[in-house]
Amino acid sequence: MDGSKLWIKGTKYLLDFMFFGGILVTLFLPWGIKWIGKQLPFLIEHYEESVIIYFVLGIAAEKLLWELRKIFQTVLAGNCFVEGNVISLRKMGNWSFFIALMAGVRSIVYMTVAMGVVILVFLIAGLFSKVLSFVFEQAVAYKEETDWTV
Amino acid sequence: MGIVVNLDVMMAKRKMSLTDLAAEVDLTLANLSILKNNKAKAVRFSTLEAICKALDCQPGDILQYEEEGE
Repeated sequence: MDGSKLWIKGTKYLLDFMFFGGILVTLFLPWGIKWIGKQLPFLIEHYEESVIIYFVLGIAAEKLLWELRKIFQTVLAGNCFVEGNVISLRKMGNWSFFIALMAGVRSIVYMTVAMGVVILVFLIAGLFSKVLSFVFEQAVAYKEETDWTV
Repeated sequence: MGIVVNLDVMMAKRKMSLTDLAAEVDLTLANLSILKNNKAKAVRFSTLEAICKALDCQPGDILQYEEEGE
């Protein structure tokens, strides 16, 4: 296995771990928040809101990871410049913006520096995904033209 | 319609099969079929040159321009 394949496979395993771990964390949020609430009392003070907001954030993050896993499957198959990945990147951008928005809503309940960082990170991730989808769209067009050149 | 490839007409005139032509111009049968069936988006000069040489014809004998909507 060459170096680049090793990196891609490693990242794919990390994504799989994040995806399945994320499902578990999202499903066990009602108990998880009570547990974390021992260290962060404000989560217990706003228990219902926290569970709902983090559940929505969890679903959005899972959708984002699902799209990223789909992209990685095409990368591993050696055929990443396909229309499906352009759509996936667009969806990832939308989900990133949605996460930033939901994190903003969460900040109304209780603002922390960490949440500010999350909002900024996902706003930038959303912008990058959108720009990358335009780049991929052009790459797909070039590839199609080359594929149909005899 | 744009550019129409009349490869089949020229092949019939020269009594040459697609397999023979593919072997002579060093192209895969799949790629030559793409060209013959007007599915290609572009043709390399080297491919055109090889086809013209094999069929003893001019590019104009293979390619034809047709007005859109005809």
